[in-house]
Amino acid sequence: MSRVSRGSRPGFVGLRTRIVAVVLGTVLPTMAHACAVCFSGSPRVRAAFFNMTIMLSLLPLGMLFGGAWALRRASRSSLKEELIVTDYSVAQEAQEGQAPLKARVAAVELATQAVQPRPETAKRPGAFGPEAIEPS
Amino acid sequence: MGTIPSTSSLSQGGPPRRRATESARIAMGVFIFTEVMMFAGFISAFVIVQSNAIPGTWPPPGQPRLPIERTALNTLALLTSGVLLFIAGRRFKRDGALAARRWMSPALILGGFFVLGQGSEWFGLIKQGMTMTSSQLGSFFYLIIGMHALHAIAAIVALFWALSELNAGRLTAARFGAVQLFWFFVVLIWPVLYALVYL
Repeated sequence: MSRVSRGSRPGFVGLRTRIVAVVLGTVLPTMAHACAVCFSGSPRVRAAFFNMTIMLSLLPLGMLFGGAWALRRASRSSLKEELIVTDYSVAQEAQEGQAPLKARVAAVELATQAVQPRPETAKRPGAFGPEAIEPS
Repeated sequence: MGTIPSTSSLSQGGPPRRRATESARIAMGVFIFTEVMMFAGFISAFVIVQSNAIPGTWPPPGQPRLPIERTALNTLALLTSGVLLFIAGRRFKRDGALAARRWMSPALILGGFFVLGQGSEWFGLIKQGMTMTSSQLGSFFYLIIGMHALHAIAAIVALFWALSELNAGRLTAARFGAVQLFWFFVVLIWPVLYALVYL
């Protein structure tokens, strides 16, 4: 029967080696040096590292939030146009204080415009979108 | 057959959906996000190397001084071109594509002035002995400012394309918005680079 040496397996550290390492580490302490290339005792350099860490941490977050805010703003603006053009009745409800937040956006626009009666419209069967609406 | 159904036709049973913003702008936004992070990495490395220098030895001795005044003029031209393109964008929205043309052309010319000005400045610096390998300042200068110059050239090509599309009556608001966004990135990041590298 062949015996496989556990200590010879790659990545395996034997118990005896570990004990020796702990003992040596305890009885022979020495000073640990930080990397001389990327660290310094100078307050100026440490401040530079600190400031750049803050910048690199916050910049992507700031851009993500900025992008989300811009999208939200564009979405609200788009919704406002849509409500003015297609959901006129909902906007009227909003003006009377009955509709939810969605329609309040249109109410702001309506408040500045004269309310004109909308021409009667009819939808073609099976068609969708603004182009589907034709005057009756 | 073979056509991709539009968003409107997919949302049958409900009202047609409206896009919050155009895909071209979103794609440009994602691209600019990566570019900003790249420049942030460069800036970070530059600031740390600069702070590591012994006080009084930055810019390194024996190296030519960067032409601050001349570059300030280029900076002014670039910022002005950004303002002109902003006005062009507003006119595009309000009065249509043709109204934007008279603002886009000067923006393009000023952008070209900036790139040519920077190019002639580089020739002078190389003649005076400042190269990529002459010092750490030289390495960072040509890396950071050179990368910005590449972006500026790409943005000018994009602007030129947008202007030719506009003249042909084919420029859409989405494409114009994407080109505008790219140019704003080139314009707005420049003062940061100028303040860090030159001043």
